[in-house]
Amino acid sequence: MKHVFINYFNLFLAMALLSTCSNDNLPKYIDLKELRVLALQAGSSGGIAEFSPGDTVTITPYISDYLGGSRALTYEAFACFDPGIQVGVDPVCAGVPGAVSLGSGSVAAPSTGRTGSTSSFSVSIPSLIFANRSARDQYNGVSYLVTYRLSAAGGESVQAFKRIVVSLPSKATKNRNPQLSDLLANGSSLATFPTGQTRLSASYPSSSIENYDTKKADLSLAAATEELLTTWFISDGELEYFRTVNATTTLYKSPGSAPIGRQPLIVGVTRDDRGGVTVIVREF
Amino acid sequence: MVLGFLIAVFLSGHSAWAQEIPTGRIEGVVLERGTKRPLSDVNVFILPHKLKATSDAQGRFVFDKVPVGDFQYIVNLANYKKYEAPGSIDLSTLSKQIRVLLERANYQVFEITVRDRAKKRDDTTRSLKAEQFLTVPGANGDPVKAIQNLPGVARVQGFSSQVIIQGSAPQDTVYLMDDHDVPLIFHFGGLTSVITPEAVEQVDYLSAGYGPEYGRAMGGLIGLKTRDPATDRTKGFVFVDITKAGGLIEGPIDDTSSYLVSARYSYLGFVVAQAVKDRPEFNLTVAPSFGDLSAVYNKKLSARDKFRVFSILSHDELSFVLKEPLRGDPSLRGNFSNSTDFFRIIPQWERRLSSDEAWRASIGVGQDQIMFDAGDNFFKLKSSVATVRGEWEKKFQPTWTSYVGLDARATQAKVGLKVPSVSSSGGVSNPISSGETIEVDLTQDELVLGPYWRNTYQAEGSPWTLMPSLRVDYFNITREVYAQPRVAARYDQNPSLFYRAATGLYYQPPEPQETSPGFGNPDLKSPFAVHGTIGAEKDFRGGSTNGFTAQTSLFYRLFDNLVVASSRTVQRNGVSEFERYNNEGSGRAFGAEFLIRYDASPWSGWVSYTLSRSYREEPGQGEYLFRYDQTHNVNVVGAFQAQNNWRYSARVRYVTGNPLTPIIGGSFDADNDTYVPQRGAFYSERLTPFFQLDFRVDKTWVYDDWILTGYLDVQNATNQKNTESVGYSYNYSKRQDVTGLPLLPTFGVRGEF
Repeated sequence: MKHVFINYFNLFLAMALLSTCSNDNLPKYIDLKELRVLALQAGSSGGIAEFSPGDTVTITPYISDYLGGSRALTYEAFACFDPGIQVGVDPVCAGVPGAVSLGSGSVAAPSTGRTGSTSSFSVSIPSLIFANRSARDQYNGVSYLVTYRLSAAGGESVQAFKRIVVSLPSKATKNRNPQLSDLLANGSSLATFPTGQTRLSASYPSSSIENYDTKKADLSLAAATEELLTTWFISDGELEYFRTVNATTTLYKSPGSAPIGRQPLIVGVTRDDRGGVTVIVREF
Repeated sequence: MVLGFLIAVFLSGHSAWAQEIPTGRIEGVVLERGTKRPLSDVNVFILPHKLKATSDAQGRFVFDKVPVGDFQYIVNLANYKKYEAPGSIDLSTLSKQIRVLLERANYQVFEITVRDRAKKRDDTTRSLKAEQFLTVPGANGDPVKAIQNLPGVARVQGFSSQVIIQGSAPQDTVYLMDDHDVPLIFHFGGLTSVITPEAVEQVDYLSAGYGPEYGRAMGGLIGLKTRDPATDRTKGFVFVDITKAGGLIEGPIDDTSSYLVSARYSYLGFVVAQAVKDRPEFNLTVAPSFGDLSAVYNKKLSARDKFRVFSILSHDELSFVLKEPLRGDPSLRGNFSNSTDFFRIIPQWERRLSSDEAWRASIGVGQDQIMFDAGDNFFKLKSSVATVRGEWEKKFQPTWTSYVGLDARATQAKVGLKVPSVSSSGGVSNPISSGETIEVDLTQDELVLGPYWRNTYQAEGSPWTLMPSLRVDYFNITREVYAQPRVAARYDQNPSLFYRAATGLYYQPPEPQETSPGFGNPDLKSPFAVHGTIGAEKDFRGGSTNGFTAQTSLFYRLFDNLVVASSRTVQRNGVSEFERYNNEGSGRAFGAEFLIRYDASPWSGWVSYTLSRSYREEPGQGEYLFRYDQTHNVNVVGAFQAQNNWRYSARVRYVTGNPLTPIIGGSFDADNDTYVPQRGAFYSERLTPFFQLDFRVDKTWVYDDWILTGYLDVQNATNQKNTESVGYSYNYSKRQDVTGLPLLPTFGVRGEF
């Protein structure tokens, strides 16, 4: 075991060094250039994000097709029991017993720079999802998988998935999606496109950071507190860090001149590491 | 006229004697310059008086009656520079003490006196001795890295230094020090071995068909044999290179015992800190550092008994803060720290009961401690370990020698962990953020027992030697007992040519995390391999020490019951859970190896070539090329010992690129803000071939009482851009090659006294 975890550490170390020292020419995560899915939200912002067997859940995709012009977008969504993503199975519902189609068809591009929420759809959680699952799993949550494929006219397509967390109906406190109240520039609301260098941060009400517990293998409870992780996406400029934790800041450097013929965007996507997510899009 | 001359000479001499020229006494010692090693049986002459004295075992000599006046010392000794020095003795000092310092024609990079080399039981064993591994270019004097230049050992990519033997996996190689398991062989996974190289006498590499003394390794073994301390004098050295400094001291304690202590400490952190200081997202709080301490105590208890204790202590530490979560794996963020410590104390006792009978026993006791914190995740392991080896050797008949022994290990480990399970298949890992977090505390007791019986049978006058043997392994974790017959044969065609063959069965317990409840499969069985090899060795030196030797062999390995990842769902204790691992993997590896060595001062070197194939098979994938398959692996190592203690050496390597599983797309994990790779056919692509030239220059400056050695080791001297892996964009839609180390010079100096 020691060898493996030494390797694990070395793997991480190598990843960290490569990640931080890389100087590649590959597309950057934060650039809103390509067709992509930014988030799949189960429930509403600030609302319940952890469900019970038999519930019907609304899924809202947040997408971006910033440079897509007026091209048509379509989607296709399925749901199934998690086939084992954690053990290396591809996150697809095709071929999984009990997989259901959640819909397909055209998607209205969001009005704010073709970036933001789009047509939502519903999914029903099977009432037998807890069959043969341990008490620990039922308390901590069993995954019900939703896959979502977004395609653009011309053949470009992206695949995303989300695990809907399903726990005991009797669980006293269920997770809620974070409440992201605002995006801040130097501590004030980000209302205009920043110029020069600006510190960006996310603003939350204090209640948004939840305390929770999980059951360990011996069924004892372990207490924990959420960390809210915000990922920043931009259409123009540069970012010092592209993720911030809770209220920490990142330095944004605006481009030398404003883009011509399009509106710049800054997007914040906040996750709680437990399936909850909230998105704010700012178009300038 | 001639008669007259003789009479004159006689009268002259008689006259001198008649005058009774006073004489003095000169005591001296003959030492080797630089090392101060006493030289015995050396003739010292005083001319023109034609006096001669011979040094004793301590190098001492005496001239009793040296005529007063000027004269000259002369010493001529093979392999040493001629010694000529003026001397004198006068009436005021009729007794004098001198030192005669003889300088060798050439000095090794490090002076080691080797005695009582271990006998080579297995003809499959290949060894590198200290004087070889200390100067291999590109290995920085490291014994284990130097092994990678021998046939059958795969080149590893980038920073890692794992030894991968004949198509096996890295975890199929066992590392031993003085025949006992150690948890780590490298600091930081591959930087340098955990022992001062100069404390090592030789490194052995055992591959297909190895004998029954060792087990639990389907691939093979790397064994470091520490050397006995010097008994003639106290000596040592200190060294400094670009990442570490250290030293070694050794010498006699009394007539029957001696000691050796070596230690190193790294300032690698300073180097790394400089490298990352311009990276605002990476805050190094505790710079990476490592240190190790090793010691040998040697005691000759009696003419029949030898006692020895080897001990080693190793420490690695690193801490840093990621100000920004890792880009491809956002769950990795915040504070990171890792420390790895272990020690072993290994007393060894050997008793020779008669010329036909001996026994030897050793026990290794120690502790391992690993602490790893990564943000919210952690892994803490503390284990107490005892390893036992015992062997009784008996020559029952002139034709038959038998060895009966035990190789055992007991471990009690306490583990506390909270880590995401990382899924990896086809050599492609999913993001850690996508894994399920597992939190457990457990105590695990492991006991493995390996009794064995080896026999060597050679009929009188027969060219055949047969070596049938049996090893039985018990693994308590899997509750298994396996008998593993192994047999080797040797045919000596003549004193310079022999043929050999070996086959056997080799079981290896699953890795502990593969069988642990919660994140493994407790029902796993042990994988095994069947080895087969035939080969020949030819010595072209005709009884001298100069010339060529050549070895060649064919090997075949069949693997079965291999542990592979499984996504099946199974019922355990009435609960449905993922099987995670099963034994449905299999594989095969085969190849041919060639090794030609040349040694004739001032030139030496070797050429090794391996032609091989290695395959694996698992459900859903069929048979595929193994991740570490390297069809061609060529190493050419050469050295030239020049005048004035300059030494030049170089290494050229050419290796087929490793197989690679392409990533053909990615799915966005909307919960964890990362992308999960979609794998193509396993190992269906290859990296481009690897080529590298390394060279090294060593220079030794010899002073009367010490030796200064400096070296410059240049890796990748041609700055070849070798592709070591493939990097992908965040969503795996685009890729580009990642190249390995550029031209990398390193240097160091060492002062010996």
